[in-house]
Amino acid sequence: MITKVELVQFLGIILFLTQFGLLFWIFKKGKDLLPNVKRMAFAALIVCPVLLGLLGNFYVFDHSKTTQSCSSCHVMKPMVNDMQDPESMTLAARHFKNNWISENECYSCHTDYGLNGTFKAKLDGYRHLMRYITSTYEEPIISGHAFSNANCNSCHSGTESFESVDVHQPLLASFSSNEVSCLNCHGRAHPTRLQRTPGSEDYEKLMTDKVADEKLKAYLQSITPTSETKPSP
Amino acid sequence: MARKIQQPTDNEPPINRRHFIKLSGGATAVISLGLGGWGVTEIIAGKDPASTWRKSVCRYCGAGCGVMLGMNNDEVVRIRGDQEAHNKGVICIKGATLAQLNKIPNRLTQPKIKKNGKFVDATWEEAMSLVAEKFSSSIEQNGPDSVAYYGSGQLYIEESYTANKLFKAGIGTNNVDGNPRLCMASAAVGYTQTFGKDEPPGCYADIDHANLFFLMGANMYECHPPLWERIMIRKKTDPRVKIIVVDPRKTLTAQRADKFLPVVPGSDLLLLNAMAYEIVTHNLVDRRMISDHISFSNGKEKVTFEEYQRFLQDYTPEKVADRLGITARDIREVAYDFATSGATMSMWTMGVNQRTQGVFLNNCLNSLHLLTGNICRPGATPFSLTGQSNACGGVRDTGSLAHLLPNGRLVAKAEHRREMEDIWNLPEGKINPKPGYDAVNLFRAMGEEKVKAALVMCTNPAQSLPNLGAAIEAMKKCFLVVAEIFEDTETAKLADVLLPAALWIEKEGVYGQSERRYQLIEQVLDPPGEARSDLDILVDLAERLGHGKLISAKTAPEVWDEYRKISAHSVYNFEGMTRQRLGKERGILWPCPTEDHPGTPRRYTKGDPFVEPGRDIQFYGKPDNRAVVFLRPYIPSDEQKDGQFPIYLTTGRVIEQWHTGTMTDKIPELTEGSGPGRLIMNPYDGWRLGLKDGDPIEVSSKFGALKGRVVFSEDETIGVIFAAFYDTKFLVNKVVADHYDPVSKEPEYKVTAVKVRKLNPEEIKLEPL
Repeated sequence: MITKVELVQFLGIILFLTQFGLLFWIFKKGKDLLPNVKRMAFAALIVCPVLLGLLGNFYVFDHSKTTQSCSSCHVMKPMVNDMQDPESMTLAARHFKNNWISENECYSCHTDYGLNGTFKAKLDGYRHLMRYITSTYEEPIISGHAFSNANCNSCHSGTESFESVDVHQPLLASFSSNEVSCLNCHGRAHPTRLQRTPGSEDYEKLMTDKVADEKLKAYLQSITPTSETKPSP
Repeated sequence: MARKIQQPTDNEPPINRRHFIKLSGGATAVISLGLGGWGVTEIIAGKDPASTWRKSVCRYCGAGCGVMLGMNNDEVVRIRGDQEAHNKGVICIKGATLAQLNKIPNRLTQPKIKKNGKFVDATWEEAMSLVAEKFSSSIEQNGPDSVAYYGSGQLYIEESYTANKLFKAGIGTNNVDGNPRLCMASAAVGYTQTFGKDEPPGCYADIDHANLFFLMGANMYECHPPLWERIMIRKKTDPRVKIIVVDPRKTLTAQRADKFLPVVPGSDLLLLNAMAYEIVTHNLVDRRMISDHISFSNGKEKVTFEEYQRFLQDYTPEKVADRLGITARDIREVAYDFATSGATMSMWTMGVNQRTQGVFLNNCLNSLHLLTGNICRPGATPFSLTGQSNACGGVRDTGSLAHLLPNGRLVAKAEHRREMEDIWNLPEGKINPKPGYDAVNLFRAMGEEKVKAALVMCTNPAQSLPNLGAAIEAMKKCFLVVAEIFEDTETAKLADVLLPAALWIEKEGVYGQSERRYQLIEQVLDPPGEARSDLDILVDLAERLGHGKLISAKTAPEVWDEYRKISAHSVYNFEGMTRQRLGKERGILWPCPTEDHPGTPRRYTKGDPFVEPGRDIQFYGKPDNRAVVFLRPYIPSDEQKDGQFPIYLTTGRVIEQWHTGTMTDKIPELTEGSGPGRLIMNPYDGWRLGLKDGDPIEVSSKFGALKGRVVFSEDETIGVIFAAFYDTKFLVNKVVADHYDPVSKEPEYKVTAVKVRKLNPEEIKLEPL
């Protein structure tokens, strides 16, 4: 089964190859361009790049929603590894473990960064990229601004579990203005700054990939009968 | 026609000067655009509303949550839970509104003296010299026991320690008590009797490891929300985790339990003994624990395990189920779960402590843990929750109660008095061997004019004491000095001298919460007007009473250092907690004898510096290293419902308000959430009494009466009426009985027999809900 992203990736490659072929052809036959070739030149120089650009953008936006994309940047590894750790009690890990969000886990709670996010969020993304490629950042990374409650509201607002808590009611205005954070009462979302500081007690564990998979593998191995543990017939 | 594209001729170089300039120009433009764009994004990047963040501790309850203060120009603009602290960033609605606390208008900013029934502004000199004169003359004429200090589990450790030293070692009276007597005296005595030392053996982190939570008389959802959230986090991490709640009311906590036992108020000791019967009879006990680490006692002498078994014969599930109002099957299930969960953590608070059998209940809860071996392991521990932010560190540990001396010593024990006389450089015999008045009797003594002058600090007894009408009358007869933050509290109104006090981050000091963790609160704001810290007031009073030499430590860091060093003479030893360390770390659990010691999450087991090497468990508080399982019979409370008083009144808190509402009642979000005080009963009781939802009623007991609005809720048990005590216009403690536990002297707020009468609308004007 081909996913949407893979399809876009495939189309992008076809378009790129087509454009490259056309350009090569124009370069070769450039001396005596015929009128009917003009259309091909137009396609090669205008239509294909625009389509390619659009598809590329779509691909980047769509791919950047995936947890994989986030964890490709090593400062994000502690967040992702912790989320996938079955023993972790952070808010992110509980969402992951209980399957409250089935895909694009990072993006689902940080919607203000993605395709639907504000222009400012895009600029922020650009800033992060520049900091990352120029190595002008320090670990542990620290969010410069407060996490927006809107991210939580996008799923929880209006739900039974939110509405049935009386104590939410007097705070609704403070939630909208972000003066009171949802995290105030519902806890630590990710490993703390101290844990994410290189050299800390937990740092190495947090930087180890696929904590979940390894634990799962170990668990599966432990329950799979081997020749030694298999009961004799 | 297409124009021919100009081709470079063979004799031209592939890149000439013009091309190069063009290309480098283009490249520079692209790079500048990229960098410029980056620069712009750096400038417009989201800014935190706070310019700096400082660590602190919440002002309110005994959970003692770490908070971060978002500061901007010497103003607190944001509050967040401290992610690095024990509470892992979780606070509650009260903590979330802390940024407003120090901005509440109409603070008391100047000392006042009552003249002809009215407060008149005074200078500190006038006010304090009047206080000193009244105290001195009373001591001179009627002896040191004619003066008293009534303190608070909300003062800093340094303040309570200094007050205790001034009165017991300086003035020479043990009339030092405080509001912790009203909330956790039974837990303190319970631990001391069972383990030989006060304070819980476990810690909050045990919540992350427990498989079963046995919550009795504790409405954690409303009273300790961050700890409740931690239980829910544990449950969401492992859905097999079970929560059992024992409570006469279907509280917000009980509503979320896996099993809820709605027992009749005052009967729950029957449940604990019946559980012990089941556990012992069906051999669910930890044999090794019994043979190596436990002794049995009837309170007078040691008895055998067989005698304990015989004692429990009166408490078979069938014999007690009816009196408890639950079924024998419920009791069996709970006993089985308790013993077999692998890691059971009990938590309790006022429902257990504020009872005439408070100490016995505490003993029995500890006993269940000992018998089943649910102790000294992660997730397995008995744990009493504290109501106030510093009742443990400030009052229990410093010994600021009428029968105590610092670090677990007793006034009544000669060797303990001698130790403290040595430490404090006092002549032998200086400390009075007779315990002072406990809270209830202290105010009775004011009424009998035995106590003629009293200093009340950081608490509101004119709203919080039981049998309140009598207590208020008593206070009127005494020369009352009140250090307060507002002029309009019920106690401030009764003061003869009113002293403006600094609040929370307007002064510096250490708080010790429920799990033995000491945390530093630094001063970040100036007190308003002429307000001073309670420590400054005590140091000033000491000077004026001629005890300036005794109270030689005059600032918070000095007092801390003195007390820290004194602690080294006990198993509370926290000498390693220097001010500098507390400034950096997020609190440390004692014992912590040296500066490189990490603190002790679990006592009486490996990791506790007082456990001898090679031992797994050592209850070193007892001479034989054995914790005691007591044979504690059920003795019904004096408050029994009858034909005249057919309903039980029980009291408690709501999530939005803290204590008598002095602070929280002035924060709009919190008052909007709680609404005014009201009486809540089951609709069935309402129907029986001919009432409609919202009717005005009068509730009266043998002690007093209260008028208010009745609200129906199916969450109340039939035969029980509930009221919270935060509303100054709704003083429910006027109705509450002042019977108390014979040992801990903690009053029984939770059980008062009352009658209900419907009022005519003209008898009372009701506030809208």
